Amino acid sequence: MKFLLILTTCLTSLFFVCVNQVFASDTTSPISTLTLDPPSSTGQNGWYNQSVDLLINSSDSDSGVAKISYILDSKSTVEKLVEASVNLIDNPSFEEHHNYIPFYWDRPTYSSDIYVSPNYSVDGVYSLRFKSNIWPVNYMTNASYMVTAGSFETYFFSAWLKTKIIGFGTNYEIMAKVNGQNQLIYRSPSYYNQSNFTYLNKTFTTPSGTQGLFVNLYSLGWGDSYFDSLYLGKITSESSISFNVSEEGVHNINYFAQDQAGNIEQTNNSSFKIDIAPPSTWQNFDYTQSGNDHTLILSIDVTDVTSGIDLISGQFQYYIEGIGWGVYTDLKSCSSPFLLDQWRNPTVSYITLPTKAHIVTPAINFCNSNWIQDKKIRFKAKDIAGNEAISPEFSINSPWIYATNFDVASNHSIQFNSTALVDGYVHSSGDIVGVNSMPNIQIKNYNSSVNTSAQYYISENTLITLPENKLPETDGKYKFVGNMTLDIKTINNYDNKTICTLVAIDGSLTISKDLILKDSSSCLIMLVTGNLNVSNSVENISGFFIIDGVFDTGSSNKALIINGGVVADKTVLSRSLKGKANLDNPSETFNYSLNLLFNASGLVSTIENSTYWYEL
Amino acid sequence: MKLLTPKNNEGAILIISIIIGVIALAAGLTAANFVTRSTRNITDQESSIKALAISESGVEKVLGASTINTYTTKCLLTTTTRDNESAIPNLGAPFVSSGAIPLTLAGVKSSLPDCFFQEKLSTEVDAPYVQSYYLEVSSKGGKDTYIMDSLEKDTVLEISTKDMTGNITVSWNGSTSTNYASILVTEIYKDGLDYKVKKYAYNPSSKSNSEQGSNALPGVTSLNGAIVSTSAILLSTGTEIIRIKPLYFDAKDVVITASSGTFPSNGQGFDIYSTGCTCANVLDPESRKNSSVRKVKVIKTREHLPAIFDFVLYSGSETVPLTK
Repeated sequence: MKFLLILTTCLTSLFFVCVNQVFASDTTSPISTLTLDPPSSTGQNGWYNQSVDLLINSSDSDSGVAKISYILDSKSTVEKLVEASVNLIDNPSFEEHHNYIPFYWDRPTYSSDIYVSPNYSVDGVYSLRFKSNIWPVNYMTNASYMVTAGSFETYFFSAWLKTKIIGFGTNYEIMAKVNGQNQLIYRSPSYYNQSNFTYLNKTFTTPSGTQGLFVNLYSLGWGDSYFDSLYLGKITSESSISFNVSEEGVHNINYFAQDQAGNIEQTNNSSFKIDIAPPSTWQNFDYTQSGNDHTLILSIDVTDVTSGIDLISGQFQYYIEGIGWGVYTDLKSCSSPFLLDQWRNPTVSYITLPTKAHIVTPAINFCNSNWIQDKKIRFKAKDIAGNEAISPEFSINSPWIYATNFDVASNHSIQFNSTALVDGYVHSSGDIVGVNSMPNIQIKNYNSSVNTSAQYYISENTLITLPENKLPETDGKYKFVGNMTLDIKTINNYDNKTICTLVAIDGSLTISKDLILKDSSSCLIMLVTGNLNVSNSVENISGFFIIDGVFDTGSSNKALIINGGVVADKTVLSRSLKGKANLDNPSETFNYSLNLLFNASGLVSTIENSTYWYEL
Repeated sequence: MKLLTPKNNEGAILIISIIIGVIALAAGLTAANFVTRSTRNITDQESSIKALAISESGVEKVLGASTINTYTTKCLLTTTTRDNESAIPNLGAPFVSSGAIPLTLAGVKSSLPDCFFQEKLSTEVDAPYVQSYYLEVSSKGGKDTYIMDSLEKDTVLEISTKDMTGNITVSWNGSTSTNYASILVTEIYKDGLDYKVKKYAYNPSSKSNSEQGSNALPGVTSLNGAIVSTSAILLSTGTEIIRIKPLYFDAKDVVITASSGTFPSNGQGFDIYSTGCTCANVLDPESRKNSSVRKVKVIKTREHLPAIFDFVLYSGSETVPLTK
């Protein structure tokens, strides 16, 4: 029974890794080759700058390939089984017989000593015994019950043999009926002394014109031979495996195959590297005066996290209003010829070898001190793989924002023309361009699930109806339906009281007067389902605003300081300072009021966000 | 072959009738057995749901109390945790109330202490008690560790660190072996009259780092199987609170450990355990027989502003970038 179980397992898996049996017919391992498409690197320095198709092709001339395995980098092993069909031979274990003459098999009349025997068996009760006393040739064939087959199909044949014979031994033939004629496909070696049942196998491909397959079993000497558990199956899958790798980085692949006899190929190894994305994360744009007030040295950092930055690839050009993008022949002289659309090389050095580099231009004369005119610069850089990127345009006198004490985030990308200064982390669902952050941590391509909806927080809180269209006079949570304008009347002396409230506006809000809270114990949280517009004259606002619509700071040349925070579906930050002031001062400052975390903890927190239920 | 005729087929009809009758009877008995078992299952399910509702009503009573603190005295949890215990509190001898137990609300007997409740179906004096629950409450403060079973990504846990000194360490488990949460830790401390902020970020696995761009979150100092730990975070002089937020994935088994002293108790929150039973006395093993018992644990953390308040500027649109 144990023997039967072992055999059944072997046949089911088709791997035939039976350690207590002898594999006399196949002792060589399969051979695997790896092909990459494209066959060689498409970028520079051995890097691919596109995804790569990999094909592992395995072959085994004897028993055939049973399994192909590969390990990419440190990931788990991927395996492909080379499957064969069900057994196509009728009465393969000779269990069906009449008076010990097996069904579906024929013998010549002189081979009368071939019969079904219960003496030994691999599976079932019987095997086929050659009690060969008559030399030279005794054979059994199933030619009359051949398996229907077609041209160029791959099959796997196996059988178990136990023999003790002298003379020319015992063997088998795989035959094909080709265009009506019998044709030998394979003849096994002769076996003489296999005291245990021995597993024999062969993988083969049928020739053109094949109509059927059959097997001849031979005994060519004197002695006993037993055949049992024959198998013939069509291999239904390719002995190759293909896959695509698009992940950037240096990849290492180990691969090997195993044949049907259990021989395992020695592991092959290969490596390749992919960098598809060009340099990105242009940040820390800065400039210093060098000579007159419009001659500047400009700098920026650029990153390529995969192959790194190619130091000699850096370039820059700048924009002179009325002329266009290019460079002056003499960067310090606006009377020298202007080379339209041309680029110059800056100095590039590594900050972090080789992924992050610092680009510094020579001193550039921007020709005049008219800061109303647009003065811009842009950069080029390649990564070591040869991918080139052009930076966004960085305006030298463009307005910029300053955000401090907490984080800045966008559920899309962040793209500031003039570098924003953020004292906190920066989160974005896309790229982040034009931000200097302290600490220098930017969380890109991250889809946050933080709820930004004012309507949500309104629905989560029990609110008192605000009786009048003005800010409340006592602590609490309020709701007003309609549009509200905060002016000298509707502010309602809120800025002269120690008061902490949540005010929900089911409508839009306009702030037309400065609003500064009285002290550190005061707070104002406003939930606005519409838009929040800040009038041009307003310069200071206190409060934390969650807005379902647009937050618009208004078009003004006055700086706006928000002591609190702003969460809005969209932001329009339109302020720009006069003359040269944008060089040194932010047009909008978002200064988080940390008092809020203590003064307002009970205002918005709900039982849901501080209570965690578990069943034990 | 023998043919059946009207005369000789009467016996066959009788036999067939008996066979049909036996089959019908067997089918009927099977159906009846099925209905009985189904009814019993439904009854068991209803009883179990009822036990859960009873235990939850106990928690609601604590959460709804104006002074939860009193429960930590009356219903003090006598062990570190009951997370790994069976549904029944292991209290030794069954609870025996001393003296008269007053009837309070309709049919509700409130024991002293208030952590054990029995309820009648009706207000009749002699009506039997039919359900009960037992509460245990423990402050999250006063210990050198603060434990959260789990913390969802992009939500904030706030812990008071007021008057603490030394370091804290945060450790947590990933959702799976490859999907580790990153952690942001924000400390608010007082410098003179002003509040100030310090921020820390920890990324336990390069696998969760692939989308973070060049300025990746710094790694943790130890990576021991699934459990990862931050480096020691030195609490600032004047420390007030820390806010902990997982990114990328939920953080499991979050443990915040103080190097010296304990986390303050005031306003820190509670662990509430409530065991409900569809029996007269959940603490009496005899009463619990043939009844359903369910147990819930609720962590009530310090009241705090939700995670949206960790941003000074947030553009929520998924179609328009944040620009200037």
